[in-house]
Amino acid sequence: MRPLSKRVALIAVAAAAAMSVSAQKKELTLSAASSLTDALTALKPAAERYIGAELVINFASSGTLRAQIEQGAPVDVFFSAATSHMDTLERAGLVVASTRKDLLSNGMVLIGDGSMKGPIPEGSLAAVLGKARLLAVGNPDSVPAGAYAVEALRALGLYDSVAGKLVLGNNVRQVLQFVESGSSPLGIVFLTDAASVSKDSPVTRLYVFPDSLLAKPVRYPIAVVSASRNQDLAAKLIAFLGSDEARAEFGKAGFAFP
Amino acid sequence: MTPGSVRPITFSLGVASAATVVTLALGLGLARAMTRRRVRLAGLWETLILLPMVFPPTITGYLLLLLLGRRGPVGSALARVGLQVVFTPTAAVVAAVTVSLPLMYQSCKAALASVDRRLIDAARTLGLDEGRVFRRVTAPLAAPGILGGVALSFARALGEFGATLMIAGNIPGRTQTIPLALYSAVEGNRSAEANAYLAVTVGVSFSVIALVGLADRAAASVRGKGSEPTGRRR
Repeated sequence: MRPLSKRVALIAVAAAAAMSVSAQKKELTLSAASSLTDALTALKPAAERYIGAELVINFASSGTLRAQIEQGAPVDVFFSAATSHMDTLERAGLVVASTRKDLLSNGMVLIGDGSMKGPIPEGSLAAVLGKARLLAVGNPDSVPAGAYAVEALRALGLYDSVAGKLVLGNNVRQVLQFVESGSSPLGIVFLTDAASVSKDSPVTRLYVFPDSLLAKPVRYPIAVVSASRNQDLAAKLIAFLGSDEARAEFGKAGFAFP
Repeated sequence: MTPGSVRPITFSLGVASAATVVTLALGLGLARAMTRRRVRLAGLWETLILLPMVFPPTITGYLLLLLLGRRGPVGSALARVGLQVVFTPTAAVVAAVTVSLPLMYQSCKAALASVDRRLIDAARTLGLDEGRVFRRVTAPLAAPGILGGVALSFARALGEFGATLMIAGNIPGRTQTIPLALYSAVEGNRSAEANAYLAVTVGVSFSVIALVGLADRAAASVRGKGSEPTGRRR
């Protein structure tokens, strides 16, 4: 058994070496929040033409991406769905502060199960919420979209009137599911969630909450990672992602621009 | 399914296969070492090997990231010779090996322990050296149990998600395995794609485990026809 296991170990080490070396070609690694998956996948070919290098995109939650960068993962550009994670990296000097930019914004929207035509004016918001049986939101303790929803409702002075009919989802997708399946007539989700439903879905957008209701509006900051050896290419990628071509794609996914 | 979405399937099968080969070598080697002689701090080593089985995979992945990242003890040493593990297919194999090793180790240890000591001693008295005793007597007798470990490890490696996401990343076309692709498909409301990945995973895992069940029964019936059944006596 000894020689065989030794041979296997050798092969494994050789394969590992080969794979690691092949990853050294001219390429740029972008770590991006999962909510950007569709838009960035669609933009990848155009982005590669623009920067003249292969673009490698790593999708995960912003917190996971931050931890990877903190541990020295080979990332050139970080595109976060939350300012907090970018702030942490900036304080630690792990991203280049001068390259940081808020590229996208996301907002909260009231959606309905199709029994009502949208959009509705702000004046009738209280009446619509009052009439509804249930209102689905993310659990404000653990789901960012839920915390934002509660904050917006509070700012409008409507929270106390709906507090008794809240249905809490474990994540924002579940809230969307509640409304799409007709389990709850109303729900509050991100603009991007509302934009993700298929054409034959009954979900309708009823009311977009203005950004001014939130103490910290939802921003998607992007920055070059300090350890990147491709600072110029990385800056070029950020420029491309702010271009009109890129904005059109992000707009399709429901994003707005700060 | 689009042609691009076949890639996670071939990649996952490759990663799970490579991981199973490494896990078999490691698991069998460790089990043999632990059952053959008294190892100092054996309990400690065994606990370390088994920890990933009870850890949430994300924790295992974070630990691996701490070790293999450019600031980690292993990662920084590898970086000095120009090697990089994080975000490569190798990282996916490392994650799969770490989480499947406990299953392989347990199966191999139980299989080796169940081999009749008298047969091993008889082989020794007939002049076989330790290596040959293991290859010709112990390993063949323990084969069904070891094979069970191979199947479990392969299935576990195929399903690995949390640790893989941490150290291999979720890079479509490079390190995206079936579970990661399935997760992205669900998140992105692409249920047809998600269902296809689900079907492939269920199909492959089911067949692997069923195959081993069949092989095990075949081996048992062959042994049953032999002169004496191998007992569990020590």
